[in-house]
Amino acid sequence: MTRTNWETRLFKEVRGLWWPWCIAAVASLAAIVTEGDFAESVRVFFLCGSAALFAALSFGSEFQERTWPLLISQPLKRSRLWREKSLVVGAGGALVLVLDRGTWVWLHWFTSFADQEYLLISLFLFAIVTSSGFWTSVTRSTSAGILCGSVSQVVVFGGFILGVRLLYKHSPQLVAIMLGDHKAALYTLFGIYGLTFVWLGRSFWSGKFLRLALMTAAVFLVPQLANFASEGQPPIEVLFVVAIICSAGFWTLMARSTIGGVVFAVASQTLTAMLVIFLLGRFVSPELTVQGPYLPDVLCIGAGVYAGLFLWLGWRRFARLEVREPVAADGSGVSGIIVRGGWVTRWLISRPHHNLANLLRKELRLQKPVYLAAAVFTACWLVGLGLHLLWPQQGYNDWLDLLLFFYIPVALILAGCIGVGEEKGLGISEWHLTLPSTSRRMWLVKVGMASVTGLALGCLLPAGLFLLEVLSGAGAARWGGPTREGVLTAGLLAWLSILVSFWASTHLGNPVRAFVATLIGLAAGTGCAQFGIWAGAMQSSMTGVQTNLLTWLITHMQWSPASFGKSIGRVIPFVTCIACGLWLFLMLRQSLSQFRQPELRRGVLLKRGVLLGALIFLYAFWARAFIAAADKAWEFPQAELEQALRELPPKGQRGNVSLSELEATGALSASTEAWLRGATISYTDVVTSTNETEAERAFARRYGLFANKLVNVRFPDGTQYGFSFR
Amino acid sequence: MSESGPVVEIKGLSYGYGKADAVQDLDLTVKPGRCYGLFGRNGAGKTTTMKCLLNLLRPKSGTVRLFGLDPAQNEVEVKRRLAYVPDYVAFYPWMTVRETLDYLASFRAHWNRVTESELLERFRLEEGQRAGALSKGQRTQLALVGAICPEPELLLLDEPTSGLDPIVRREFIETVIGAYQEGEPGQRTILVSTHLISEFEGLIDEFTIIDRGRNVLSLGADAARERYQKIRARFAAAAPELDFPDALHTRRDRRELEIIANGGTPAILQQLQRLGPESLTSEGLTLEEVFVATLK
Repeated sequence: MTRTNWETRLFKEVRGLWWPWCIAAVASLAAIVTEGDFAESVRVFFLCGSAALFAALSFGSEFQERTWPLLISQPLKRSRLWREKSLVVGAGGALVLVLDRGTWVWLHWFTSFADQEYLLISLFLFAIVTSSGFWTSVTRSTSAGILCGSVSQVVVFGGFILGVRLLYKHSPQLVAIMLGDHKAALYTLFGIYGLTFVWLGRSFWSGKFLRLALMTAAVFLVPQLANFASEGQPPIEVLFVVAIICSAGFWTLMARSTIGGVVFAVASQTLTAMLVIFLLGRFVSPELTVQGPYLPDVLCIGAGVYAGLFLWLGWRRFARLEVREPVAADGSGVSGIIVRGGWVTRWLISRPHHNLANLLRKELRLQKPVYLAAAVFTACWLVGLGLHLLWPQQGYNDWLDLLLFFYIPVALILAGCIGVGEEKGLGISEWHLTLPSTSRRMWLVKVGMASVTGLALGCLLPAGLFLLEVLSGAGAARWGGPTREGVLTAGLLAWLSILVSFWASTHLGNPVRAFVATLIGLAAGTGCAQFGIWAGAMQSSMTGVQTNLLTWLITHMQWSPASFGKSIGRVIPFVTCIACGLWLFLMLRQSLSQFRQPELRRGVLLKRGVLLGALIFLYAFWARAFIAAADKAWEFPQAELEQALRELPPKGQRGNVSLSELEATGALSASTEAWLRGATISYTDVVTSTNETEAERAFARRYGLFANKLVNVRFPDGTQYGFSFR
Repeated sequence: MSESGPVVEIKGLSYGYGKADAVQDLDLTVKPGRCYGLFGRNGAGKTTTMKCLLNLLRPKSGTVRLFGLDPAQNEVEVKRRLAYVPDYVAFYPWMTVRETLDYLASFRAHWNRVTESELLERFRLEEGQRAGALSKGQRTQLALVGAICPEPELLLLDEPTSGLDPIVRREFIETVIGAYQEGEPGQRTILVSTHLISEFEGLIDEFTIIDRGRNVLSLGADAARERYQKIRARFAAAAPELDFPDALHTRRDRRELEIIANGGTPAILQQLQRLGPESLTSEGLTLEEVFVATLK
């Protein structure tokens, strides 16, 4: 298939934004599987973060790849280039929002979905759009095509409703499901109708699929936005995505860098929202505040005005764009600290001796985008805290959480990937490796500096700011006091994120790609772990093998559940530490190997990523199966002991039983006998109610509710074990 | 490495990008104190060969030795004795020229400050200028300063003159490179990869021409000039149609006959003499002409 010039250019734009867009699309759809506030927050972070990234990447990638001179020198008006870039970013953002809202609609379909009239309007418009192509090509007129489309819809859907009512007039419930509250059949028919007409009009739509996607997005989004305005519950992520799609271009052109663009765009809209709402509430009307009833209207109008303003500013900036940088990585406007004076910055200047110190200095300066993100975040945070202190009832501290949730992962990932990524983007990495120092040393300096910067600015800085918030009395009650385990786990997870990002940066050509790959990698790693846990719980043969092994251990070591639990409690963290250590070692080994041979080889990242993912899966699978096996390991010896006690001749209400008496019943296997050797077994019979019915007894037997024999086993090492059975 | 051992020794080197072979079964030996040219068209495999020498690429097969050492095993020892100027020169854009040179000097045991200031003056590079603001040619100049000041035993230059203006180019080749080698005659070796062969004509002692990753020709420069000759004969009538086994190319233009001979020049001259030409001349080819004639 040959593409027109326009399509070729659009395809180039789409290709560049593909992966971040995919993350945003998957995050939109992930609402189906996420449960709980934390998972939902992570989903929203992925959605908003990747939307910000692909909005900024459209312009930022031209800085990264140094392609502005090539693009701008082409015989096309700048306005046209601007329109094409905006069109692709806009279409991508609209499709993400359609997926996000579509998922929301899907989830609320059979529960509390009360906005069906908006969905029906959307579906009706969707059907008109999709059928218009076919009818236009048949009638050779756009207006006649739309008219015919509308008429055919009335005929098809009217006929369908009439038919259902006539055919199922004796089953009002079925009619209600199909046309009543849920309108299931109607929605399905709309879907089939729309897709059928797209297929019928494929010759018309050929080459116009982007237009079709945009129109589809519009017909779904406009009624939904109207719904939000009338219902008063605009989802923040929708407004965020709309605002960032329109403003990221301007900020990217200002910062001359993708990362700078994302940081400034997010900070700008957060600060603007906080300040505008504060000023409106303070000086116009108290009803226009965070807690006020008109917040949704303020946010919707504000987001619209902000988006429009920054779209215009972006165009102005693009029209006046000068291509200044002879070299650029993510954009030399952001990369590297320029020393201007002062003893602190003068320390950063390279000296003719001490190459290790110079390597450290150089790495510190390469981390400039992380300092920039930290500075912008701190400024936003302090503004939020100030507003909160000025007007505590308005709950500005919730915005602080939002900032924190966005900043921490960005700072960690950025710290991990910027050192290597910037050097690769600048084209320095290969030449730098030829300097007379070991590549391992250079790599270690990079890992060390990435870890230190990431942990300092991604963990300690937010912790310090949070402490400031607590000391100022603004947020003492919001979060519980940190536990040692919690701090340790958070620190380890943070370090892991930095290392994954570092690993990605050694395998990819620039920091933005590494950032995207890290987001995908972290999500995929979590998915592998979840899948492993699920498979471990499902798989019984693996559990069976381990159960037998553990039962053998229990019986031969004469463990009580307490001492067994203690041993297992030590085993799992120990094995987890070993496994994590080995996994990290493998990942770092891969990273070092790629760092030494910086040639980017196709498929290496995927192969190594699959290996690491498979290891995560296998460990999660084994750990879950092991835990299940540990739970089951008692069943076998305890069941034999229960059976032996049942088969004993009556001995009285309480007493001791010797091992020889139990052996005489023939219910014990050799391993259970070994388990009980030297142990003291005592029992107590509990008198149960004689009024129990047979059904109650069966129920109690089935669920073990009412025991009538309590058993105590004292092992030679002094530990005891008690259980009961019926 | 023994004193007379080769500085660079490549045996059966092969490297591929995916399924495409960039270098195939390449052999190359550079003796100390020589200026060795690695010639080839764009994409012939020159940069890939250089990167394999520097352990930036892991060869698919074959061995690479620098100063008799394996660059993968003796990483620092090898890198300490060489300097490399890549085809695409980039520096940290936020560093000044002074900072960049100090940064490079910190990795070296020896750095000639006198040479540094001479070269900075000659290239008109300002020490306070940021590397990000340097033009492409100025970046190459800075890279050359950084490579020459440590006075390494081996200078690896990958397309070093691309982006340089003609004055600097001539100065660089004739003065800088020449002075570098004369600093310690017989000890300082240069391996230069380029397709702008005419610029290095007077400097090159030996060369290898590679095409599609394969060694097409390895020869000393003088031997090449002697072996590859351009013979011109002018006849009174139309030039006769002749077939010489040693002729690479033969061109007839009415009364004139031009033959590019690959060896066997005396025999060809003798044969032509017998035909009684009005004039008969022969001259050695330039290295660039040898390159063109070989790859034509």
